[in-house]
Amino acid sequence: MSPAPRASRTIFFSIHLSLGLALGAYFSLVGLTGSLLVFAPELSAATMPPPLTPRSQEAQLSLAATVDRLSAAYPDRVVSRLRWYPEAADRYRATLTSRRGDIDRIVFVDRATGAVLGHEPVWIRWTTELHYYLLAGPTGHKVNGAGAALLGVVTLAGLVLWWPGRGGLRTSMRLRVGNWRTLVFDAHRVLGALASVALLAISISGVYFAYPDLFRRAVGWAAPPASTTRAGATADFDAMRARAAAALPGGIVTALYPPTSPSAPVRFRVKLPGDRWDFGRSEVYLDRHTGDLLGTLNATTLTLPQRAAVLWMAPVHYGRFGGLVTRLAWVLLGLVPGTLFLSGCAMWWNRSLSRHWRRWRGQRNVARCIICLLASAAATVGCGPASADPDGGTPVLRVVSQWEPSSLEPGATGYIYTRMQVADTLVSADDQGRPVPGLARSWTESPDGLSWDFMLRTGVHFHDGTELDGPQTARSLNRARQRTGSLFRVPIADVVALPGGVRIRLTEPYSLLPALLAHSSAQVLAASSFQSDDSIQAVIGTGPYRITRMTMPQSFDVDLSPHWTGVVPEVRSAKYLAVGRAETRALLARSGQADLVFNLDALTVERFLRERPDRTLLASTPRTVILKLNAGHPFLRDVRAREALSLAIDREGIAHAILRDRRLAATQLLPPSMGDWHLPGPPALRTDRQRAAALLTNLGWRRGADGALVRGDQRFSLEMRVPSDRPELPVVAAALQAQLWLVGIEISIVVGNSADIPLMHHQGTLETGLAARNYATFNDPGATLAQDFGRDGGDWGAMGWADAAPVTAALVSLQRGAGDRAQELREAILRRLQAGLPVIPIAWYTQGVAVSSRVNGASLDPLERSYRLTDLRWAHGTRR
Amino acid sequence: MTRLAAVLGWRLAQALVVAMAVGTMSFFLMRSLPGDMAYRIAASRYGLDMVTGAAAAAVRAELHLDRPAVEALALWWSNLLRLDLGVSAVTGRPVWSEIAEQLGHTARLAAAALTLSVILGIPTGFLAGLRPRSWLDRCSLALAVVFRATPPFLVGLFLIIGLSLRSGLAPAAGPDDAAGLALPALTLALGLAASSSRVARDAMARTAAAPFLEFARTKGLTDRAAVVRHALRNAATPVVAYLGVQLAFLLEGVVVVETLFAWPGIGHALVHALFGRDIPMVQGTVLVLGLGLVLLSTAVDIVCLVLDPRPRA
Repeated sequence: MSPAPRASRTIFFSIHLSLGLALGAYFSLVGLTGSLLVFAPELSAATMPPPLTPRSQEAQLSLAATVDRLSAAYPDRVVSRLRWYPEAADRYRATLTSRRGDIDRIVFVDRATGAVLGHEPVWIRWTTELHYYLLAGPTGHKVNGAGAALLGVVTLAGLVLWWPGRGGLRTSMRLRVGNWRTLVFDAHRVLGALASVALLAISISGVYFAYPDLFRRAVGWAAPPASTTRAGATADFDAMRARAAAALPGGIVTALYPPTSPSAPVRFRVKLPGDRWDFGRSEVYLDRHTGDLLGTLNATTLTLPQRAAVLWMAPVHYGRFGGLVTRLAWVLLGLVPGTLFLSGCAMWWNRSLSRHWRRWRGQRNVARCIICLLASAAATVGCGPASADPDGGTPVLRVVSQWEPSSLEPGATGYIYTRMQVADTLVSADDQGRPVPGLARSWTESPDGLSWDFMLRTGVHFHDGTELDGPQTARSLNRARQRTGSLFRVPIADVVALPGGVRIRLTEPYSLLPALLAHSSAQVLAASSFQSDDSIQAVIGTGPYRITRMTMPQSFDVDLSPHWTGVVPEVRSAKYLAVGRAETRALLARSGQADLVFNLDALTVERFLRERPDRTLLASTPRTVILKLNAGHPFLRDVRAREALSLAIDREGIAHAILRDRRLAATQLLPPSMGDWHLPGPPALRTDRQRAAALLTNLGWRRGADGALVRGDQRFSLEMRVPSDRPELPVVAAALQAQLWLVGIEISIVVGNSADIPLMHHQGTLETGLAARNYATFNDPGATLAQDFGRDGGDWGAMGWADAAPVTAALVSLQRGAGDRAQELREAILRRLQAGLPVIPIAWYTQGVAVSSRVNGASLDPLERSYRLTDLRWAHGTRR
Repeated sequence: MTRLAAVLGWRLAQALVVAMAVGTMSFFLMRSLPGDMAYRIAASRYGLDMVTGAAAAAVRAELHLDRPAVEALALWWSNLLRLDLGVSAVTGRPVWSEIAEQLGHTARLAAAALTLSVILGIPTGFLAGLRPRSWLDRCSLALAVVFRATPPFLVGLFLIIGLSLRSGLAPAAGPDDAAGLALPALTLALGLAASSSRVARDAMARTAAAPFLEFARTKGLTDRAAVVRHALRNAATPVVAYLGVQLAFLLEGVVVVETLFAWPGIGHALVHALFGRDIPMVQGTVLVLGLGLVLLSTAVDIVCLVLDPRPRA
């Protein structure tokens, strides 16, 4: 066979040169990573610690239990394979696939206990993802398949160019060492020729891995049979394993492939004598529900094309067909594309570029600069994957929320430090807002209600090592009551230290005092937290965590306090990061770069609930969207007008379309989670536009020519102040505007900030205002309601409401201590608010939180007092 | 030396005018915004749920917001003479220390962004300028149009999705990790590089076609010597001058990018101060930014003076 004619050599040369130069770096990268992965299974297994428990065959956990434990430990992944051969006898090698089905992850599991012994090393995982997926998931996998095909094209073109004819073989394999240019040329030619067959094999098998169906169809490979039953529990894997062994006698059952879809069978891999795959290529298929045998695939009886097309692909690609020598050769083979690329570049330089370079050598410095600078740019930007790798770093819990720690002052952003369990309060609150012991183990109220004694828990230490005592507590509380916060409005005469406690003296009875002491503005801090001028210099609290690093106003780090004497939590370090943009928070949650992500927007919560329901927490919070009305306004003075407004509003539509959850449509002021403050069965707020129209007609309003209500020369037109602080409020306002127009009420929306509403309330100029009010600001809604529905109304509550007196009186009675009548008073207050409608409830809120797979045991505090970090546990396999 | 002294003197005078102008203008602009300052400050201090008339009254009394505007401005001026920028109305911390913390973060981000933009933009521009209408020229033009026209917010989101969410190469947000600088810096750098590459390209194209370069070759200089000795220096002057202008664009981008990437810099702080009507903080921030611009413009002038001998003649 003679060399190719000149014309075709020119074409092949163009193909070889252009593809080689364009894709050489890519081929080099994939080759290099392939080299690294040749011994990856052995390296992974070698890095695993031995199981802690003694082994015995009897003690082995069942396959089903092992799969269940893995599924529980990695809820965002599915167990796609459990392999026990050729692994060590004490462990399984499990492949976990993400639910998107793109990236596999290998973990090693103790056969006796199901405990995760460890993962493959990070560098192997990263290299694997780069080699197989180009770090781009299924798309990268497909691109890699195309790249493998192009490698074959380059190799074939190179072979054609190299082929010297029968007579010139010896000459063509000679290395001339006299000149570096000829040496490079010869080295490229000889190395390419020697490696060409292996490179072609790698190329074909690479295409097979990306497009297996192409090969299988070509050789008539039958698809695995589907399960014939569609319902019922999955049958026992261990019994099925025995059936699989019996189905292919003489073989070793090596791996289980649990079904990943309702129709998929349970597959077992079997290694028969003569099978070159390291864990066999024969398979047994069983019905997932009944365990009945569906079929087998005997790799030793396949036709030659089938064997070549399917069975030999993996051994060829991984070099597992000739023992250690072949594998070592495959390590070197991975370096060949890079070597050929470099030598090819040098040949290109010698042949063509150097001439151009000499012509343009004036630009050499520029080009050199560009190369250096681009290299350094790449180094600057690609700062490595470690920080983004959730399992590659130290076990620091990462908490992301919207709220910025812009101050250390308890009355300002103290709630962040309470939530992160840095600082505590005398009194805590349960999920319904009822006071429960905090730093105070108990408290007593004097008979006249003017003095409260709070006895402190013993053995509690601040983060500076000092013990919690009366004087330090009294100092914190005296400071708090002089600043804006929960205690600012309490009639406190003074706070004095007692042996082992504090006494708070009041100027008038105030039964809600314990609830207000649970507010974050009443944190108890060490004396060393304050400077001599009483300003705060550090948050030194009594919580399990102490602040170790502060980057205002964005983040801070906490560690377990060495003086913490309570139960030692599993999470010892955490980082809090304030992220203002909802999009960034959502992306942090999706990428797994944060473990707890709070304040997710409604759309993200909806999506997360669909995609990863077991990793998304949802809890009702005591916040309600209200339409605050100026009940003294001539159009709204009559309760029938306010009722008409309420009846015209389709709350369910707003809740569904804007807040993405119909259940958030408010039927009364406070949501069911508020326990005592939620009425069990009053007439719910509803939509009835006919009734609304009738009420307005009774009040003398008639439809004008343009559809708006008119009465004499008056037009039923109101201004609605809407704060932009919460992005959903302007949208809710637009919905209200459209809905109220259906009954002829014209609303003009003015978007501003939330401070406008209390300001205009005081100026008396507010007509209506939309707000999202937190009724558990002081834990007990009674305190917030007392502020909103006092005698003169409230900034966020009643305005010009003539019927406020009974509500105000009931709230005052509650504050002074109503004893057994408390619940009766609460119900009376809520019924009057529902009937009088000084504010119209629109919708409730939920808090959506994304939880990463690194932690278990997350729960939500509906009052948002705590992130409950001490309840969290690291998931199996998270590096401690 | 005389020329240098003139530049420094002129810039010093500018600095004084800038200090007077931005401090006073920002004061009156903030005062003229609609709404009540005390309520806004209370909202920023204590959170929206705690804003009440009582809280606002306490803030008003504490900060003496009732006193006449002129008196407050005069006080700020007198404090400034003692280099005291006052105390933040929201956090209660000295404005100097707030700015010092945030400026450090912004300086880090700006330096990284500028370096990256120089690395990406200038060489590309010079190379394109040496071969006008080549494929490199056309490609760099297309990329420059795309990156300049795309808002930094969108570029940032694309980068987060591509380099963080999909590949995990860099963290999506946060200031504490050195790798956290990569994405915000790259977001800013791509926009800056888009403009600077075109300026560099035009400067080099103009210089490459200039008769003096042909003359340099005619008198016997090699291509390399002609480009290095004459073309690069001539082309560098407008590029360096443009880098000074870039700083203004940088500040524009920093505000958005810092918020997107949760980067605690001065742009982020300025936005919060504006929302919170924190006048001392706004005044201090714009003063520092204005003086910073003057300082950098001075540095650019000096570099241009070194590069271009003609004004020294």
